[in-house]
Amino acid sequence: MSKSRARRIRVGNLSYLGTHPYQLLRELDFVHYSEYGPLEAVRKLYEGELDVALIPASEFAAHGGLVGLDHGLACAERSDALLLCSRTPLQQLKTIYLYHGAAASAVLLRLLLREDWKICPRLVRVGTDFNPQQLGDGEGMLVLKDEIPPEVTAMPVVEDLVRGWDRLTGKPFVFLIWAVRPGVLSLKQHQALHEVFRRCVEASEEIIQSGLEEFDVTERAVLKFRGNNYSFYLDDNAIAGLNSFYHKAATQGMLPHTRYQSATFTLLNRRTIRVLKEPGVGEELRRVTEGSRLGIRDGVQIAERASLADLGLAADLMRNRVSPERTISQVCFIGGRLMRDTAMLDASIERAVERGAKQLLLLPQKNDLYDLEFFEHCIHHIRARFKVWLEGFTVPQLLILARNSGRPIQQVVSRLVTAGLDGVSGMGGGMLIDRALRRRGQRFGASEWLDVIRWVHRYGAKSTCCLTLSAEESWEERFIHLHRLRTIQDEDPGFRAFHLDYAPEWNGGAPSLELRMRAMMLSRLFLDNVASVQEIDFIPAEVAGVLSLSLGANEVRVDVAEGTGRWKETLRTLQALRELGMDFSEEPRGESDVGEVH
Amino acid sequence: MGTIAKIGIVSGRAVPLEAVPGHPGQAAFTDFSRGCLSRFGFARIADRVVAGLPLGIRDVEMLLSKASLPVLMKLVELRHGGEDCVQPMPLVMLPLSNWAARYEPTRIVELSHDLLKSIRHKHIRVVIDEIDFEKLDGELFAVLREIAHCRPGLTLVGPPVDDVVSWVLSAGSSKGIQSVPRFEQLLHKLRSAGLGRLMPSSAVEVLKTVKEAGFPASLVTNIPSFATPLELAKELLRVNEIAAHQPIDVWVPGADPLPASKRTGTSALDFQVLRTLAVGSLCMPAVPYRRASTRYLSVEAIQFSRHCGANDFGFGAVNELTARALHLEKLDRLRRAVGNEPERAVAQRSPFPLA
Repeated sequence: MSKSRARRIRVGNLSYLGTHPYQLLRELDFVHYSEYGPLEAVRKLYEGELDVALIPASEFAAHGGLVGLDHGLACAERSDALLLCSRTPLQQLKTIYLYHGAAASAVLLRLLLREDWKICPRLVRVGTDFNPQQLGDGEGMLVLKDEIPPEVTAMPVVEDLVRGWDRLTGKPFVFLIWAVRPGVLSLKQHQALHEVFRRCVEASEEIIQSGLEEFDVTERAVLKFRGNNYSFYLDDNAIAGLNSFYHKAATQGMLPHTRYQSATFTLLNRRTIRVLKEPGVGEELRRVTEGSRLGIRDGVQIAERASLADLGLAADLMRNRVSPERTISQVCFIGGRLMRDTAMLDASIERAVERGAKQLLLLPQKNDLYDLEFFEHCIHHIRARFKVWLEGFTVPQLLILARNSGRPIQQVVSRLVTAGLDGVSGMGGGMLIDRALRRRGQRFGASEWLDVIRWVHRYGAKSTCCLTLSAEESWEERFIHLHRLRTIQDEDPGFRAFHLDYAPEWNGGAPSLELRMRAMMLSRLFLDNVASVQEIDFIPAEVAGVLSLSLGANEVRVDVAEGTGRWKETLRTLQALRELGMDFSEEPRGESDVGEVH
Repeated sequence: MGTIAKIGIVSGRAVPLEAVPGHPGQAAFTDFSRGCLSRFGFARIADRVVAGLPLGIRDVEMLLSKASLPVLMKLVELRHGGEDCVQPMPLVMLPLSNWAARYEPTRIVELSHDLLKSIRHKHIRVVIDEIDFEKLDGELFAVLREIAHCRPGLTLVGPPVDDVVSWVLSAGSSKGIQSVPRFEQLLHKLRSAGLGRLMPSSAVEVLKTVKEAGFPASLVTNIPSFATPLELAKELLRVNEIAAHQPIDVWVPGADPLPASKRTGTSALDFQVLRTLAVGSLCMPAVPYRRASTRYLSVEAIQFSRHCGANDFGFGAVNELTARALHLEKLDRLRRAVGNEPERAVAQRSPFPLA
C-alpha cells in the first residue's frame, strides 16, 4: 500500500441520514474524507476538487466520462422520503417548488410529470427556508426529508416519486452513485474501497441508527431503511432500473444517451479502468441533430475530433430547427450618466426608437450601485414612456447593489423586476467554475451567480447567458459551465439568448477564429434548450460575425446609438448578406437613408 | 517493386486515387455528413465531388446561389481534405520610380542591394513599383538584371499582366492583343531582364502568351463583375476548361472594393470571396493553386480560407511601405494567422514551385 499512502484520495460523501453508512470510508488511511450537499459534491468532482464522490445519478449521466463503483443509494417501490405534496390536485398544478439540492429527483419528477401525470407545471428551485406550509393554490413542492414532517403527510396530495417510478417501470430507482474518473484509483485503492463499501452495507442499519442525534430525527426516520426498499449495493436489478431511467430521460431529451458504466469489470481483468468504446463523432453528431442531448464527455470528444465542416453542418441544422430565419435585434445602450438626466434620456431613447431600436440595455455606473430607488425610478420612467424591451444589470452588479444597499438579493431583483425590468445581462457569468471566477478576480462563486439568476427567472424576468473563452480553461470546463446553464434552463426557462465572448486577458489579443467558431457551434449543439444564439458584437469589417451567422448563430445585435458610427454600415452589411442568400426574418434597415447595396 | 496505382474506379469511371472514398487523404464521408448534405439538397453534388467527377453549370450555379457555408466547407473537405498548403511568401516592393527620379542607376542598384540583402528571409519576391516600358531597352534593363541577381532566393515580380496589355494596346494597335507581336516581345524582354513572374491577370485570354513567355500564369476573378451566380458559374467553368489545355497555375478569387457610396463592411466581401473560393476549388480541378490573398481578404478570412479550399496564402509584406502600396497584410501577422490554425499544420514548400 505504499503507493496508495503516497497519494491520498479525496472522497466526498453526502450529508444525509441515508448515506451516513458511507462515513466508514474515513477509516481508510489513503482517504481524505468530507461531506457535502449533492450539488456541491458534483461541482467538486466535476472541477477536480474530489477524486471520488457520491453524486446524483442524473449528474453521472450528464457527464458521461465517469465510472461507477457499484454502490450508491437505490430505492424500490416506495421511498417515504421523496414526496410531491400539494393542496391542489395534481392536474391543476401550475408551479412546483424543488428543494435546493434536487438533481436526479428533479429529472424523475419531470419524467413523471410528462409520462405519468401528463402535466407541465413550472419548476422553481427554492432555498432551504421554504416550507410546504407556504404553498398556495396551484402550487406543489418536491420534498426530500429524512423524516417527513406531519404537515406534509397531512396534505391532500402526497405522491411518493419512487412509487410513481415503480408504476412506470417496476424497477428500483437509483438516486446516488459513487463515481470516479477513470484511472484515478489504483487497483489496491479500488479493492480497499470496495471492502469498506461491503462493510457499509452490512452495518448500514446500525450506522443509520447511530446518526439519529446528528441528523436530528426520530426512530421513525430509520424504519424505512429496515425493510428491503433501500439498497446501497447496486445489483443487477438496480442497474436495470438506472439504465431504464437513463433511457427514458434521454428519450425525453432530459439527459444524454448513456448507460451505467461500472469500473468493477476492469478490476477482474486487471486492466486500467477505462470507459466503454464510444460511438464515432459522426454518429454522435447525428444523434444530437436528431434531438439527443449532448453529454460533457461526448462534447469534449466532438470538440477535439470533429472537423469544422461537420460541426458547421450540425450547428446549421440545429439553427434551422430552432430558428429557420435569422433575426436582427436593434438595441440602444443607455449609460449611467444618461440615466441621471431625464430629458436627455428621453431624447436619446426617442432617437433610438426612430432608428428601429426595440431593446434598451442599461449600463449602470459602478458609483451608482448603491441607490436602488434611483434605478427603480429610472426603469419605471422608461417603462411608462416607451414600449421597448428593457434589459440591464449583470449578476455581479446586482450583487454589488444588494450589498451596498443592505438588502437581500431577492428583494433587489424583485423590486427591479416590479419596476419594469424585463431582463438581466449574462455578462460576468461566462465561466461558472469557481476556480475560473477566482482567477478573474470575481468575488462571487458559481452557485451564487446561479442563485441570483434563479431569482431573476422566478420573478418572471428573462436573462441572457454566455460562454467566455479563455486560454486557461479546458473544453471539459467549458462544457461543465454550459451544463450548468442548461440545467437551469431545464427547470425554469428564463435564458432568452446565449452569446460567446472571450476573456480580455487572452494571450495575443483574441482566440483564433477557428476556436471561436468551434466554441460557438458546440454551444449551439449543447444548449439545446436555449433558442437564440446571438452575435452581440457584429463588426462590419470583421468576418467573424458573418461566419457566426453562417455557422449556428441566429440573432445579430446591432447598436443603433449615436456615436457608435458603424450602425449604418452594419445594416448595409447585413443587407448585403441578405442579398448573398442569408435569410433574415425582416429587412435589416432602421432608417430610409441606409442606402442601397448592390 | 511494384508500381502504385494513381487512379481508382468509382461507379465504373476512372477517377484520381485521392478522390476515391477511403483514400488516406480523403476526409470522412460519414452517414452523418451524407445525411446532412442530403437534407440540405446537395447529396448528388456531394457524390460527384467524392467521386472526383466534374460539376456541371447548374451544379456550380446552385452551389454559388444556394449552398450554405457549412455545406461548402464539407464539400471542400471531401474534395481537398488533408491537402498541403503553400505558406505565405515574403514580398517587398522596391520604389524604383521614386529612386529613378533622384538617383543614378548605379546608386539605385546599390540601394536595392542594401535593402534586399538586409532581408533575412531565404526566399523573397521583389515587386518593382512601376516599370516604364519605354525605357526597358535602355538603362532600366541593366538595373533590373542587376537587382534580379543581387542575392539568392530572389524572384523579381513585374506589374500586373493587365497593365502590360493596356500599355501595348495604347501603344498603337486596334487589333486584339493576341495579334500584337509587341506583347510577346515585351513579355520576353521582361523575362530576359530577370523578372520571374508578373502580377495576376483578370483576362484569361492572355495567359497562354504569358505562360509561353516563361511566366507562371495567375488569374484573378473579380467576383462583383459577374451580375448573377449563373454568369459567375460560367466563368469558373470556362477558366477550368482553359486550364485543362493551357496551364493556369494560380487562381485568385477577388472583389474590388465598392465605391464609397455603396460600401458595406468588408466582412460581406470576405464572405462572398470565401464562398466563391470554395465553389471554385470544387469546380476547377485543372487549377492546382487556389490563392487566398490579403489583397482581397482580411487576415481573419485568410485564417478561415483553408476551410474554403485555399491551398496558397499568397504574399505578406515585409515592410510597411510594401503593405501600404500593395494593400497587403504584413508577413508576420499573416503567418501568425495562418499558423494559428490548429487542425492541420501549414506545409512549408519553398521555393514556390512555379517561379
